[in-house]
Order: sequence, then C-alpha cells, then structure tokens
Amino acid sequence: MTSKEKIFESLTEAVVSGKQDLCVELANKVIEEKVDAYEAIMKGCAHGMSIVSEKYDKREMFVPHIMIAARAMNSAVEILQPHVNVEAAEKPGDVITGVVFGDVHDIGINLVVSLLGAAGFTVHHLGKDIPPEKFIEAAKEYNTDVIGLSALMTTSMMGMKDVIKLAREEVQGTKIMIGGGPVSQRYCDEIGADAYAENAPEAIKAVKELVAAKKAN
Amino acid sequence: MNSKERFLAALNKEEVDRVSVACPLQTATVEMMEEYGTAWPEAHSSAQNMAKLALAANRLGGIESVRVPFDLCVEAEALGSAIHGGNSDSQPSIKDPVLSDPEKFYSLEVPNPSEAGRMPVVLEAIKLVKEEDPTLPIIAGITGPFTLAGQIRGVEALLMDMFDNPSFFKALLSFTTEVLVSYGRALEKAGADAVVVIDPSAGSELLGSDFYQEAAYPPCSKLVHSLEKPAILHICGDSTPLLEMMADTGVAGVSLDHLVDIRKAKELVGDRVAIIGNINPPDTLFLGSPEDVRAESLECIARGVDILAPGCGIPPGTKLENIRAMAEAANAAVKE
Repeated sequence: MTSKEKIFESLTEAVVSGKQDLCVELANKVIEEKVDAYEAIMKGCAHGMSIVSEKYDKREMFVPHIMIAARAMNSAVEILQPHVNVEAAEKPGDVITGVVFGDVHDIGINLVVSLLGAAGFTVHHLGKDIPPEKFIEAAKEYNTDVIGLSALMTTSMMGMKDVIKLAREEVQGTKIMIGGGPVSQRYCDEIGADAYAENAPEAIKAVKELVAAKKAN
Repeated sequence: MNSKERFLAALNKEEVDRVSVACPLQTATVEMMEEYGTAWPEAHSSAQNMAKLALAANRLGGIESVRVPFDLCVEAEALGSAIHGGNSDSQPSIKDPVLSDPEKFYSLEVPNPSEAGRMPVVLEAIKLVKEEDPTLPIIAGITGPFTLAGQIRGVEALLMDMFDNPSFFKALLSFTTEVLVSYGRALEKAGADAVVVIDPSAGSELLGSDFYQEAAYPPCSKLVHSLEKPAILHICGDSTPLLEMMADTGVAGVSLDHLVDIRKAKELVGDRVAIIGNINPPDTLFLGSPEDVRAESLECIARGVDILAPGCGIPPGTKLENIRAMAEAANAAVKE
C-alpha cells in the first residue's frame, strides 16, 4: 500500500469511529505531503461516511454514531476543501434541502445533508420551519436539480403538498424528494412527489436517480 | 362497564366486556374545531377551550377517552424554551431551546406546576373534563425525560453531550426527570386517570437499543416508578427492539406505532403490559376511507390489542367519519 493509500485508509477509519482530532491531524498530513485533497475527501472521508451509512442501514450503528462521524468528517473536509482543484472535481448535482413549515425536527435532514455533501453534491440547506415560497426562491436562484423535503409530524407533513404545488407552477424541471417519520410511499404518490426516501442512505440513492432522470430528459 | 372502567381494566389486563377504544395521543381535528367553535392555537392556552375540544373526540368521534393537552411543548415552554404557537392545523413546536448555552443550566429551576407556563391550563382542563363527564378516562400526556432534555438543549447538542460531556448529560437527564415527576404528580392530583409518557427522541431508529438502555431507559423508568396512576409509554417508530425495556420501566401499557407488528409485541411483552395500537394515522386514518379504517381496526383487534388506538397522534385533517369508524369497529368486534 502506498503512503497515500495509507492516509486515506486512516482517514476512513477515523471518520467511521468519529475521531475528530485524528481527522484534523490526518487532513493536515494530506496537505503537508501534497496528496490530492479531492481524492482524500472522496476516498478517505466520503468512503468513511458511506461505511457508516451502510452500518446504519443494517442497524449496526445509530444516529449518535452518524453524528460524531459527520462531525469528524466535516472537520477534515474544512481543512481539505480550500486545497481542492475545482475543475478536476466532478459535481454530481445541486440539491436544496429543508424541513417544511411548522416543523423543527432536523436531525434526519442534517444527516441527509452530510451524506449528500460527502457524495460530492452541492447542497443548499435552508434549515427548519421553512415556508413553501422559500424553497421556490432558492430553487430559482440555484437552478437546482432536486428539492429534498422533510417532516417528522403527522401535523406538518401536509405542508409538503404546498411546496409541490408551487414547484410545479414555477420551477417545472426541479424534482421533489420527500422523507421523514410519518411520510410513506403512499403519501408520496398521493401528493405527486417524485421520490420517497425511507432514511438518509436511501435519500442519497434517490437523489442520484432523480438527477440522472432529470439529465436524461 | 362504562368507558373509564373498561379502559382501566384493559390497561390493568383484567377482564373486559369488549375491546376499549381510546387515544393516548393527540385527538383534535379541524372538523372538531369547526363544529365546537374552538380551535388551535387558542385551545392550547385556555383551559375551557382545551377541555371542550378534548371532549369533542368522544362526543363527535366516539373515542372512549379524553386526552390533554394537544401538543408536546408544555414542559419545555415552562422551562423557558421559545415556542411557535402553531396554526389551526399545526401543533406548537420548539423554536429555540433554552439551553443552547449550556451554562444556563445552572440557573434553571424545577417549575411549579400550578404557576409555570401552560401547566396550570392543563391541570384546570383535567378538572373541567372530570366535572363534565366522570365516566370517561382522562389521559394526560407528558414528555419523556430524554425527549424533554432534547427539547431544552437541542437534540443534536444533547447527543453530542452524551459523548463529549457525560457528567453534564447525566445532570441534565436527572433534572428533566425531576421536572416531569413533579408535573406528572400534579396531573394525577388534578384527576388524570392515566399518564402517557411520550418519548419520540428515544426511538429505536434514532438511538438504537444500546443507547436507549444506557441513556433514555433509566430516567424513564425512574419517572414511571414515581407516578401513582397507571402509565403508558409511547415511543415513535418501530419500537420492537425496545419493547422489553419499555415494559421494564414499570408502565401498565405500551402504545405502539403502526410500524410495530402487534403479534410480535404480544409475544415479547403481552403477558406483562397492555398492548395499545396501532392504526396507521397518515395512510389509513387520514387518507383512507371509513371502510379502510374499519378493516384495519378489526385486524388490530384480531391480532390481540388490549386497547384499540391510532399508532400516533390523529392528523388534524382526518375526517370525523374515519374516527367514528374506528370506534364502531370496537363495538362491532364483539358481535363477530
């Protein structure tokens, strides 16, 4: 194994085990040794995050693990990002995310944001309790591929419909993905969203598919 | 048997003449608000309106219990977290957790339930419902200690504290437990027949059973043991991996999300606690027809629920005829 691969492997392990200090140390080593920063993000950090999300899928890891892993990853990415050669880096797509109006539960969507970032997407996270118009304004501003909507309450999920209605009128090309505790495939079909994701790793798959479908059109 | 006798017998796993139909979670709908001329958000902060709208679930929907309040922010608000009031079809929610600066923890005090925030409103509403109809069981909702800690600290910050500052985390959880014991006892004294502890942030998808056992179970068990009336525990999502620990907290019943398989739950804890649930609230109650609700209700009964109930709060847009279909199914089940 080359020394570069060794650093990537250590970065992956440090992300998976949520060791923030070690991530910072390894990211600095990447810069010192003039290793490609983009490669370190993708093969070190993002790879670690995808292992974490696989383990989450299999119920071997849970949200607290993902959060410390994401924090460790973000601290490495912060150091590496300014050294990335922008033209060489591929950008798979542009995504807007947020929790719908009347709902402030954002743990799930924050995970989606971390995982999307790790997968290379450009993510504009609007936050929680977001009125429908804000999603549309942002979609126009960024000419976005996908809007990801989250809701945790049976009382707030109804607001997803309003966002979809506005989006169909004003930003026709943009795809809508929905997710969150009470939401289901049935509800997705009922309100005419383009995709439903049961959890954060599923959301990344769904976004990839939606972007591919959009580009194929 | 009247509704209260039936509900309490079912909760204690004693013999009943037919299945009890109740709702340990929020019951108000827009139709009830229109019919009774009392709507959210006003009904969250007026005891009379709260009592009236809570009774509507029985009078208009046929549910054989009364549940107060309609939201899960009473305790966090009494502790100083800023709240969004919500609208006629959306519940109040936490805007800013009071402990985003953890230093403030040391100046927080256990609130007096007869004075703090909307706590006295809920206590008064219980008394009013009891005066109006003593034959209905009153279920008072309180937040689980882990969830309350997340509401006043921020859930992400709380999960980080678990790793970064375990002694602060412990102190915070024993504080929220103390708050809830004091409020829970006040609810009982005001006339609540059962207390439902709602602990969504302790869900199995979020915490997993190891963290649940370590962080959320001990304070919840302490709270339940400090209450005198029968308690019910509701944890959102698929709580199957947590069920045995949930029963170990000392509750009389577990309220199950629609994702839980009732037969599996019966097998795991059915000999120890009452099984309450679990009609799918968004897909069946809200989007389905009365016939869908009836079919799913009969299925829940056939699978052996002790108390027929929705798997979570009733979505405010739910039609009254669907709620009535659930109540009618409980009656019909005897004859079939």
